[in-house]
Amino acid sequence: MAEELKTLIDDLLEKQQLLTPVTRFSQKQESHLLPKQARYYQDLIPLSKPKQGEQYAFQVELDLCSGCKACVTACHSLNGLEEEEIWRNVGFLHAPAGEKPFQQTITTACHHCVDPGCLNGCPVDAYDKEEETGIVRHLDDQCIGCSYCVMKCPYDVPKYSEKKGIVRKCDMCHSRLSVGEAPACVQACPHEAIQIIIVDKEAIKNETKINQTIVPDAPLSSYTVPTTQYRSKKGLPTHLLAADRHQLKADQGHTPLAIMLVLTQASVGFIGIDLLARLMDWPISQPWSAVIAILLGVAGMISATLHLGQPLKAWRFFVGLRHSWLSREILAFSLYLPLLFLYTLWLWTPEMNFLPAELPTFLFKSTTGLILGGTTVFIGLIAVGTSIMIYHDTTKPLWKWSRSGIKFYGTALLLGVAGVVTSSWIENSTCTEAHTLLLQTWMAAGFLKLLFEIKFLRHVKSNSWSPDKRSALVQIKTLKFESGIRFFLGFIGGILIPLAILIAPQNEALFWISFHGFILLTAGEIFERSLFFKSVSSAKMPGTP
Amino acid sequence: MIQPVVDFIKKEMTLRSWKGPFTEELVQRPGDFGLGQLPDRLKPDATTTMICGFCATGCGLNIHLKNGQAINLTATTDYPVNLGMACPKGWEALTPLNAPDRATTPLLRNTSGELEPVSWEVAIRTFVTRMKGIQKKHGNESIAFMSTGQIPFEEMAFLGVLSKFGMQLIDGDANTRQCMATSVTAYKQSFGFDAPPYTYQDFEESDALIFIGANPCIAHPIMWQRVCRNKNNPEIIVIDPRKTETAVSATQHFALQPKSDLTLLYALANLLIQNGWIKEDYIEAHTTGFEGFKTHVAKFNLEMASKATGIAPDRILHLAKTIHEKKKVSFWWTMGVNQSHEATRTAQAIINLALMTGNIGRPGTGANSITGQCNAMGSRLFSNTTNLLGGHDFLNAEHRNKIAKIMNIHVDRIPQRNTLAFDQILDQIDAGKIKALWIIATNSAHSWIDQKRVLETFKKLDFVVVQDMYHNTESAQLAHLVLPAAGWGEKEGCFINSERRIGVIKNVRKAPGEALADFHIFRLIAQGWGLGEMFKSWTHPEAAFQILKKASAGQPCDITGIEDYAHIDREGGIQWPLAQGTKLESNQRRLFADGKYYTSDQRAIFHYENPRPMEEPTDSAYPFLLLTGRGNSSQWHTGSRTEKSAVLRKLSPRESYIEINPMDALEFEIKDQDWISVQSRRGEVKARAFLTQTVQRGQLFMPMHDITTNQLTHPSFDPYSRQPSYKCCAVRLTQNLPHLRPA
Repeated sequence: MAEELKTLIDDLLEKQQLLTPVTRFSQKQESHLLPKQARYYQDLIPLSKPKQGEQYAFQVELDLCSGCKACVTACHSLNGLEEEEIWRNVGFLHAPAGEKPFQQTITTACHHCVDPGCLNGCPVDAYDKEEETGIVRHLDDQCIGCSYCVMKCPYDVPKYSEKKGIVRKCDMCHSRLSVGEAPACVQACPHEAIQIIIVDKEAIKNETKINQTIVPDAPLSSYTVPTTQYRSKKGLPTHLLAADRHQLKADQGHTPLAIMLVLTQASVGFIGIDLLARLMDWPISQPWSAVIAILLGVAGMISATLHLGQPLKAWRFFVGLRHSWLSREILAFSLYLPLLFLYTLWLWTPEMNFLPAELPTFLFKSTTGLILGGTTVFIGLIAVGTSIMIYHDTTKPLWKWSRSGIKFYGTALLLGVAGVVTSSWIENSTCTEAHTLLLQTWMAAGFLKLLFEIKFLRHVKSNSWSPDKRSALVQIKTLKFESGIRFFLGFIGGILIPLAILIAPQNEALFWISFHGFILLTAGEIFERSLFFKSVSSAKMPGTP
Repeated sequence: MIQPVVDFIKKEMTLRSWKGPFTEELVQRPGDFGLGQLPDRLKPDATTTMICGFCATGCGLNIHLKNGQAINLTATTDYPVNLGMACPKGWEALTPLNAPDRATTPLLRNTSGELEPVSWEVAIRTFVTRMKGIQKKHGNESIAFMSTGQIPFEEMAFLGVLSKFGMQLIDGDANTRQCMATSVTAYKQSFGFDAPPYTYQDFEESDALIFIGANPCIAHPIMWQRVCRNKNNPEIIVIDPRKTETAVSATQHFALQPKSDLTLLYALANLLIQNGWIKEDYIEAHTTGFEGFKTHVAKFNLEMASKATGIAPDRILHLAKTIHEKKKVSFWWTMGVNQSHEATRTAQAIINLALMTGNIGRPGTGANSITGQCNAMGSRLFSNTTNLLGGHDFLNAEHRNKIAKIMNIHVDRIPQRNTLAFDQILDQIDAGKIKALWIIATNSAHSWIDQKRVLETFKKLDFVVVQDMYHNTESAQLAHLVLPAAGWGEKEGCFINSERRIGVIKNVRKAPGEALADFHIFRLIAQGWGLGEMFKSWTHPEAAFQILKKASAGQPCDITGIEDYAHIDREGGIQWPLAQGTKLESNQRRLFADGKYYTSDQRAIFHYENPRPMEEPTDSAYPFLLLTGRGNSSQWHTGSRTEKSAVLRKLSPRESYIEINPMDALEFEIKDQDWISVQSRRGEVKARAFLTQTVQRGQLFMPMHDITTNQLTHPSFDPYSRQPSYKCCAVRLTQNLPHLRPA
């Protein structure tokens, strides 16, 4: 009895591992000229190729879309995407309070824009808008994984893969189309709601002037000129809202980028204030400042590299100079750092008594120094400017130049002043008038920057929903902890510590107090920058709640 | 020496890399097998077809094989059900098989209360010793089982005969109680047999389709596909309290008050009678009980119906007119009807409408229940739970004799009373009468109504066995013994879909670890119990299929004309009936073309009863009515499988949410996306508010997939089908607590 059970267990465990369908069931091995599914999709793709000035585009019959999401999964399976990777998504619109009940599902993928944001932002030209088809293709082996296209695309199309370190996106199944097969989503839609059509690019451009968005509550079409045509014979009610519009999910933090921005700006601020001190002949400047500026700058650039998924490929950054602010930023900082290095070397030279010391100090001991220092700071300030433009160029309201400008240059000024003051006390603990002036500047800048950030939160009270209101709500609700830390650090490091030194400029501990102030301040700025990324409101296609 | 370096530099120094390993990964080449282009690494070396294992639509899936193992799938282009399409669950059907939390060995709860891996031998011995011990001490009625609509019917049948005829248990129910019990009861009483009469082609041939308590856009996307293929420009009428996706696509939507459907249907019947819009000759020739019905519905006038439903009288009249004017009217219902305190009579009110207007037995007509689970229909015929094997009756001596003969057992081994329904089983556990429960491929700890009570009741059991693919379902966590089961795709057998179509599933994946097909597990239990001899012919699923064919002989569901699995596979599924000697003439067959029903006088019967108020109406303390249902097309029931797919997870909500009308929200100062607290007399849950006009004022909606939803639901049941009424209970929003978040 026991033996029988044991034998049966072994027998069944063995049987369970046998796969029999191939041998047991006859295979219908017909050879097909066309894939079997062609019978359903042949009317859903164009017969001819686009002509000059034309391109392929998705067309979605909204009346037919039921929100089943088969398109998303078919795309995933037929294109062999990673486990969690999707190139298409389905959201919905619904009627606001007071209107008649209504909902409309929206399937969306890459809109293969006439003026693609991803392509324009890419520093290495890893995007290509095919001449013949207009399909916006991503060159996976060219991608450096900077994710800037993710920020640039208003439709949330490019998807970054941590595992691969690159971005991938919908290519309209260009390979299938090229042999007369339909894209996966078109093949799989049970209601034939998605098709490929040929559109005239000029007409699409003009269309953006009449219809501001491709569907209600979607990003403004004028930015990238998306080509997808959403049609409804029944007509959509006006004022429809994206189902997820009130969602307060924090965006990615991009910690390496936050650190990079703060440290490079600190570097520029450091060397800038130091230059100012030299020009004013304040007893503050000393060669350590420049060394610290280099350390900050290099650390910032290393952090930037950590942000890249494929840093070894980043040498191609200059390829996109004509259109990408990211290319320009990399170029600017690539000029800034060597200049800073040269300048620092030069500053240290007299210390090593290479040059006669009797040159007039107001000229910095030499015009060479002034020119070198001035150029370094100038390029540094331009580099910070390119950082600002990177974010401004995404058209996200929180990142517009006036806002990031105040933040980025504010960080440079604040950390520059605090840093130079602090480093001046490395060897010498006296508080001069110039110190007082800089401490006052430190405090005032710290105060004003916090005030600027706090003032933004007033949008919470705004009656109508806006990206700003959402960002403010994300800061005080979703990210209330981070926001609290940011303001606490900013208050201590930016206001309290300079104030304390101003009230009681004790000689002994000056450096340490100031140093702590500088560190807290820097940490506070990194938190500020992290909130800058996390609380941004990005325009997107309607999602699900 | 230098050349490779130069090459390397050249390769690395191209300004734009159009090629490389990442690009290659996605490059598509002809995949053959009629599949079109596919990424190289997904190119199959063979394909085979089988039926999807989620819902009762029963889509054909084309499995892409490499070295015998499934690597991918597409929808079967020429399968008569889905015509080359699938919903997201179908597309992702293979993914849940890879989940890391598959049960790979039997698990036994040890003395410190943890589940510990044991060998199959220990597991089977423990099962037998504990069960026999309990049975010896407390009798045959002290052990019950809870089966499923998710496994092949050969396995269901094996479980049914092993437990009832072999182990001598009496009470074994299935989770089909939660979805289809009402349709079963309604059809049985009205038609004389549980026989959904339609074929999916009817979706395409109707000129009016009336959906009652059904949201096919979300629940049955591929059936909706068939509706969209209808070339008759049909009237699509949706009767549902919510403005669902289907309601938006409808030409007429009746957002009636919850549980006013029976009144509405009777009023429609009355209107049709009053206006002479009925088929007297059909009623005369093929039905009984119409006169009584006529008298019964006479009091359901427009004014009364309008008051109960909240729908204007002229709209109700318009609906009646539509039914009258259209030539091919089909009625479709699903859980909105089935899960109600007066579900059976509501389903029959629909059947009555079809009968009295002659909308049955012709293309594009029918009183059609849309089924839930992939094999609920198989369970209904062959699980040996509610019905005796093959759609027979436990209470019928003739039937018992027939089955005993086929099974080659003594007729006394067949129970002479019907099983308790699951709610009654729970009562018996509470009463201390049932001591052991065996749960197979279902997750009652999540899905049964009034969840807190279920969890408390389960704790009273001496022995709980859970047989499942996953070791960590809510139910498995309560088990003393977990038996690791192979899933869909790892075993063979048949499913029956909504339109009575039998389809085959195959083993295209190796089961992980020591997981075994349920069929194999039942064989081991039979052996361990000492019943090896009795079930010696139950060697493999296809052998069981041959036995079940015999059990079906002479029944409305006669399948003696089906040769074997290969026959089913070849034909693209075969609808029952197909009796021996009959030719399979069409792949789209419907019942009752001849107007002959399965009752003794071959006449359909009008059943009716006065509507009853819902069991837990709203009041001042609990002013909202909570509706539940399917929330989206990428989730399946308790999510034990769909939650295992990263893609399906992405396509479904990650947090509890509750739909609330914006005007109600305004009153309670609730803003969109606020966390709110919802309380019923049975529990309190927290969920994000989603403000939407699709729910009416005074009503709330939560998806059934959410584990917390059933903490709120009220345990009321239809008296005939004992199906739980999931879709209405009274709740309140305790207070506006935007700061509340689930711990």
